[in-house]
Parts: sequence; structure tokens; C-alpha cells
Amino acid sequence: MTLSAPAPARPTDRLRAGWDGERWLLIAVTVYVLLFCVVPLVRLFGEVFALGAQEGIALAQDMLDSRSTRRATWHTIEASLGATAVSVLLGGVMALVVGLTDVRAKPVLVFLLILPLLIPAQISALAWLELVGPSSFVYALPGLDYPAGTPNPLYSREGIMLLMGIEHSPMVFLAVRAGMRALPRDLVEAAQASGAGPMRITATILVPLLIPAIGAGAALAFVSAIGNFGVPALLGIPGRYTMLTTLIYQRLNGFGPSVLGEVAVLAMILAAMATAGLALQAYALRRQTIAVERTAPLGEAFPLGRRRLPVEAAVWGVLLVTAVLPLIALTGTSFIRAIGLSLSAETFTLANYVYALTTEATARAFRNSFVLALLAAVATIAVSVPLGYLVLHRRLRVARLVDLLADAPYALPGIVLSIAVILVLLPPLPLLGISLYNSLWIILVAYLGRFLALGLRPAMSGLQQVEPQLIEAAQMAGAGSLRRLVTVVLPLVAPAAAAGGLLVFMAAFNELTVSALLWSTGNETLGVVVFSLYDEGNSLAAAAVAMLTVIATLAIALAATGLARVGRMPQGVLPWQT
Amino acid sequence: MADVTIRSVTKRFGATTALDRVDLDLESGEFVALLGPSGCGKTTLLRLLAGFERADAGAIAIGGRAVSGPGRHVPPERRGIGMVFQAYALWPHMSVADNVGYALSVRKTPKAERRAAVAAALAAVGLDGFEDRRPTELSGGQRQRVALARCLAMQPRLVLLDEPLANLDVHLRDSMQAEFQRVHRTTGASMVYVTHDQAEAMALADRIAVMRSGGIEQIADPATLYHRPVTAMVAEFVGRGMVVPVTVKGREGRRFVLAELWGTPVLLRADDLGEGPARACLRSEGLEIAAAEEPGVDGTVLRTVFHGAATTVFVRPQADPSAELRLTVRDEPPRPGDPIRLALRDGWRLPG
Repeated sequence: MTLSAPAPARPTDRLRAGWDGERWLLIAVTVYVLLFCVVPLVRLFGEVFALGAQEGIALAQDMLDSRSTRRATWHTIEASLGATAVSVLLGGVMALVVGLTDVRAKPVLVFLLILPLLIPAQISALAWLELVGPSSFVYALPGLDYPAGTPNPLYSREGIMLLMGIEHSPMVFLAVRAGMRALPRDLVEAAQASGAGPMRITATILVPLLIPAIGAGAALAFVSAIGNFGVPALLGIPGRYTMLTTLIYQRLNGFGPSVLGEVAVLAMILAAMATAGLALQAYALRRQTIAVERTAPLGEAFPLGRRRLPVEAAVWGVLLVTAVLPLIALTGTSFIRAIGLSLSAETFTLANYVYALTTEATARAFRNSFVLALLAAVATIAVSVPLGYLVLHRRLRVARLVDLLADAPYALPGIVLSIAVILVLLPPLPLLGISLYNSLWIILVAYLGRFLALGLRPAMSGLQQVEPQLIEAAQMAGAGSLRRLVTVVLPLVAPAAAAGGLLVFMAAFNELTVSALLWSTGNETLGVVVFSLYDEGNSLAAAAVAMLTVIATLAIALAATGLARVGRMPQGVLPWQT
Repeated sequence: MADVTIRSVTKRFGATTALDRVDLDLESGEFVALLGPSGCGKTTLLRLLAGFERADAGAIAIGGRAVSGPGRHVPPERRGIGMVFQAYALWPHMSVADNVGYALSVRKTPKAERRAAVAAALAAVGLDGFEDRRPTELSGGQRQRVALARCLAMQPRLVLLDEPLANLDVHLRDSMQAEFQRVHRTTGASMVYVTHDQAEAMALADRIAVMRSGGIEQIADPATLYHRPVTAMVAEFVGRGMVVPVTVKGREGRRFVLAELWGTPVLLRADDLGEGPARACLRSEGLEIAAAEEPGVDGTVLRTVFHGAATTVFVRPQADPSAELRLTVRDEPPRPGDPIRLALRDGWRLPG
């Protein structure tokens, strides 16, 4: 054995050798996130505090001193708390019943419980208005009559609470389900062995242990409620119950970009409330980790026996009202000849659909939303897979920071991002000298920031399933970082990334909150068209457009579910798969 | 000249030191096993050789090329080393041929040449004609053969094997061991083999490096390790040696010492001929039941374990009830509780 000193290094054997391709990838991904996620929010912050922190706070003080702001802020808190209570009650109880008992047809129940997540707020609101409104089929029932001459009862604080509560109940449902999966069965069995019955076990063991999960779901539902625009727009504007989102919309719509400074402060108030909610959620999630050995999962711990039928009847009754009947009412409305008629063979018509598909503005909206959603989905996939790879498998510190930043625009209310994007894009672009304001592309910019996190999460959970050894094996075979990404990682995460893309497509296709502030004539989105058709009093056409949107959304959701099955994706890639 | 040179390599993970100034040299074409209990640093050393981890101090050269040293780290993809993973790490979305030919397509080897190399590598592991199969259609043993073929197709001068038999059942292990030996002979590649199974290491390796808590205890050929361990840990870990206290009374020629074991005079093989208190390594085959009137270590039979051809007898010595001796008996074994006297036929005095 000769103990010769190691030969001198070749010039290429530098510390960072083999990093070149990866460096460009990291730069590209970072620039994307900075441009679409970080710059607008920083700009918004700067707008409020441009004059200095003290002046910014003073400006906020002035705004809060105004009666309309104070009232809108109070309404936002009040309605959102009420809605959260509805969400917790509906989502929490249903999660317990579906998770712990032997009720039948669970996949259908879960689908109906998650349905509000798939149907955008403005369409749910529309459907409920039809269900409760004067021409609803429910008044054909004996003993039920619409009180003539009164406005729709949903045009009220309680209506907003109820609808937002239903709309966000899947968040509580999913959070509680996830919390239940982490609970070991022994805890229940130990209680059973001590002689406790199901009700006592639920009250004394399960609910206390699930408090963090319920809290996390509730916080998320609250944050969603304060950022909701569709429900307060359709119910609150006619009902003169203004919330922060609708106040921003009305100000900006009425006075144009001149009030940007003012609405920026309103947006900051919303953002602050959302941040508080998200902090609460993070706190609750941290408390959720229980230090117990994981054994068998909870499963159907409580067979219902003779009480199964009554319980099933109650569950179906609730879901019929929350998920099925509104859609039936909406379907009915979309087929009738004129407002005020009830659906029958004589009043049936396809004219509303013909109108929806052939009128210039609505046809254009379909095209616009399709193009925007497609571009957003493709761009999001293209960014999230490399970003996830750099974070999870290359463990680059910069990438981890970028990943954190990418969450902000999705976590904050959409309307906050809209204001931020207007602030950035209203002045002409540097070098090009043109402004994207009043074009379709400002909406795309907002979507790219807003929905990145939505597509990133499934891609990340897909990447987490990729064995590191598979990538190391390619590395040993001489493959550089980019080649490993393309030949090994990409094929393995393709199904999850595609599912994420479909989620982004679905969300963008249905979206109203962001585009409500950014659209211009010729650049309408589907959400905007449904809202303005209803606003103009053309609820029949609105219903037809809404129905077409719902059908397209459900078809995409079905495709994503199929993809998850084919790709043998882990649970958690798609939010509605539990 | 050494094919692999590891000089004073240190690796820390946070506060724990996984490797502490390790030195190791591999001759070209040598088969070296890294053997040790879990947490001893053997896998870390392998991953440093592969380039997945970066050494905190020290230097590594492979084939005369410095791959790791102060301010220098050649990434794994530029080291040209083959590796066989414990869980095979076959790419599920590629056919067997694509798996095996991957490194060649990275190197832009022409297609026809690549196809021939893939076929040759598959033939070398006895999987002719498996090109179009998917990894999921293969058994565990076949998967490990594909992983080996994938590594051979690169024609690496150094192959790293990370507990490649740990996921296989017992009878498959024997045939894969033979496979590794054959491949090692025919390719002439140097191999570094990580295992915690000393029998596997003894069966395969030219030399074994026994590791403990981040350092190499001893590196030697299997026979030397077994017969002349340098520390109590090596003595106990390799072949389950029994370490007992002795008192050395004097030398007997140049290779033996006279000593006392619990008052009984014994003859021990030794390199270290110094007198005084010491420790000895005994093997079960070096102990026998003493003949009548022969002096020996008195004790009591604790229990017996029947193995078919022989029986292992566990004995508690009278002089030290906390110790336990094992011996192998081919005739009728004594019963638990019986008094027994043991004669020492072979023993090794541990140095130091």
C-alpha cells in the first residue's frame, strides 16, 4: 500500500461543481415567486406605510374613524364569527358521524359534504337565492307560501352567516377528519373497557382530543369568511349589509383607481385579520401532535345498530338542504321561460343556455376564463415541480424561503392580492411603457400569484413520496441535477403535479373575488358574468351560466379523482379525498 | 498504489460525530466490507465515498483523483462510482433495459452500443432477456440483480454496496452472495460492502473493517479478525468471542504466553508477550469438557441449545458467576445444573 498524497484537483472539481444548471433553475423559480407573490404584497404594504409608519397608522386611524369603515369592519367580524360557528357545527358533527359510525354510502356523503368547496361562493349564493326566493319549487308544497311583498330573507346578516358557514364547512370537516386519523383506536377502546358509552366517549375523550383540529379548521373557515366576496356581494349588497370585501369593491367600482390609497388601507385591515386567523390556525396545528404510539386507526368505532336508519335520515336531510336542493333550484331556474314562473312542460325552455353560449359577452367570458385557467394551471405546474424538487430533494435554503413566500397570496384574502396587483400594474411597465391595467393579463398575473400555493401543495406531497434513493441512484449513474429532475423526478410526480394543475384550473375557472376588481370590458371572467347578469336582474341567464360552470367544474374534479386513482396517489393530494 | 485513499476523514451531524478521523486504503480490485453495529458510522463512510455527504475534515481520493478535501467536493454524479442500494432503488417508470442503460444514456453512448452493454450486464447477472420487463414485475432477488446489472453497465472501477441483502430472505442471500463474489472476480472492480452481518462479511470480503462509534477498530482479512482480534469489541462482534480476564505469568516461545484463568493455568496465543493482568478471547470450539483428572475451569451447566449436529452448552464458572462460557459438544451433552470442568484448547491474548 502506497500512502501517496491525493492527486491535485482538476479545475472543475470546485466546491460548487455540478451546480450550474440547478443555479439557473433556482434563479428562474425565485424570480417567478418574487414577481407574482412577493412584489405585489410588498407594494401594498409600501403604499400604506410609504409616508412612514406613524403616518400609515394615522391613515388607518382616519379610515377606522369613518363610519362606513367601522361598520364594514364590524360586519366582517360579526358575520365571519357567525359563519364560523355554522361551519364548525356542520363540518364537525358530520366529520364525527361519518368518521365514527357505520352509516352507509360514505363516499356519496363525503362528496356532498365537500361539494361547497368545489362550487364557487357566487354560484352557491345564486342557487340559495333561487331556493328561498318567491319562484322556488318549495312553495308548491302545501302549507308553504312565500310571504308576498317581502324581500328575499337571505338578504340579511343571518343569510350571509348561513351561506358562508355552509360554504366553508368542508374546511372544518377535512381538518377534523385529518385530526381523527391521528388518533389511535386504543384511546376509545380503553374508554369502552371502562364502561363508557359512545356519547360519553365522544364528549369526554374524542372532542377534547380533537379541539386543536377543530380550532385549526375553524380558524381556516374564519379566514375564508372574512375574504369571501361572492356571498356578501350577492346577499349583502341588496341587503345593505356591507363587509370589507364589498366595501372595497364598491369604492373602487364607484371612484376608480383614485381611491387606491384608501382601499389599500382597507385591504391591510383585512390582511391583518387574516394573519391573526392564520396564526391561530398554526398554533392549533402545533398543539395537535399528540405523543402517543400510533396503533390501529379509529375506524368505525361506534356501530349504530337500530339507530342507524334515523341517523342516516337526519344526515341525508341536512345534506339535502345544504347541497342538493339549492342546485336543483338553480337547475330549475336555468330552464324556465321567464322570471316568476315555476318549471313545467309549458314553461320549459333551453333559451337561457342558448343565450349563455351565444351572447358575445358570456361566450367571451367562457373563453377568457378557460384561457386564464389553462395558463395559470400550466405555469403553476411548471414552477411547482422544480421548486418542490429544490426544496425537498436538494434542500436548498433559498428554495425553502421561496416556498414559504409562495403561500402568502393564497393564504390572504383574494381581494387583498387584487389591490396589490393593481398598485403594481397600474403604472406602465418599465421598458415596455404599457400598462396591463384594463387588460386580461392583469388577471393572469394575479392568478399566477394567487394559485401557486394551491398547485404547489399536491406537487410537494407527490415529491415527498419519491424515494430519495431513486434520485441518488441516478446521481451515481452520472446524471446531473437537471437531468435527475427530468428523467426520474418528473415522471414519478407527474400524476400529483397534474392533479395540482387541475385544482388550479378549477379554482381559476370559477374565480370571482380577484377578477371582480381587475376585469374590464372585453376581459370578463365567468365569475364576473354570473355576478353582473344577476346584478342586472337577468337571473335566468345567470343560472344557465352558473349551471354550465358547475358541470365543467364537476367534470374536472372527476378527472382529477380518476388521475389520483390511476397514479396511485397518496391521500392528501386532492383536498376532497379523505 | 491504493485505489481508494481515505485520510483522517471526520463527519459531524450537529453535535454528534459520526466519523472521527478515519483512515482507510483500498487496493485496486479489493473487496472490503465495512462491518459494525448500527450507528457505528459505516453507512456514513459509504455515503462520503459516494459523495452524498460532505466530509467536515480530511481527504478522499479515488483512482488517484482527489474527490473530497478542504474546499473541494466532487458531486456524486461526477465520481463515476457504481452503487447498489439496500432497497434496490430501481426506477419504477422505466423498463429493466432503461434502468440498466441509464448511465450509458447519460454519457451519450450510441444506441447500438448501449443495447449490447445492457444485454451483457443482464447476462452477467443471469437475467438474459429481461430487458422489457418492469421492475414491479420482478421478485426481490431479480430486482437486486437488476440493480447490480445497472451498476455493472457503468463499468465502474469502484462499486459501493449498501446492505444489499438486508431485504432478501435467507436462501436468496446465499445465491446473491455467490453472485457478488462472481461479479467481483470477473469485473475486477474494487468493492466496498456495508453490512451489520458478520457472517456475510466473512463470506465475501478480502478484508473487513470493523467499525465502532465513528472509528475503525481493526481492519484485516477474515481469518485474522477471527483468530487475532485486537480489541474486545472485535472479539465479541466477530464470531461472538468470549472475553475473559487472565493474568499473564510469562512467555512460552515467541508466540505463546502462559497465563492463569480463574486460577487454572492456560496457554494462549499472543503477539503481546507482556506479563500481568490482561484479557483473552475464547471461542466455543476452543473449549472442551476436561478429561478425567485433567485440570480446568469448574462451573455449572446453565442451559443447552440443540443445533442438530452439535449442542451448545452454556456454563457459569464457579470463580465468576457473572461470566458465561459457551462450548460446542458433539457427544451426549450434560444437563442443566450438572457440574462441569472445562479445558482450554485454544485462546488468544488480546493486546494491551
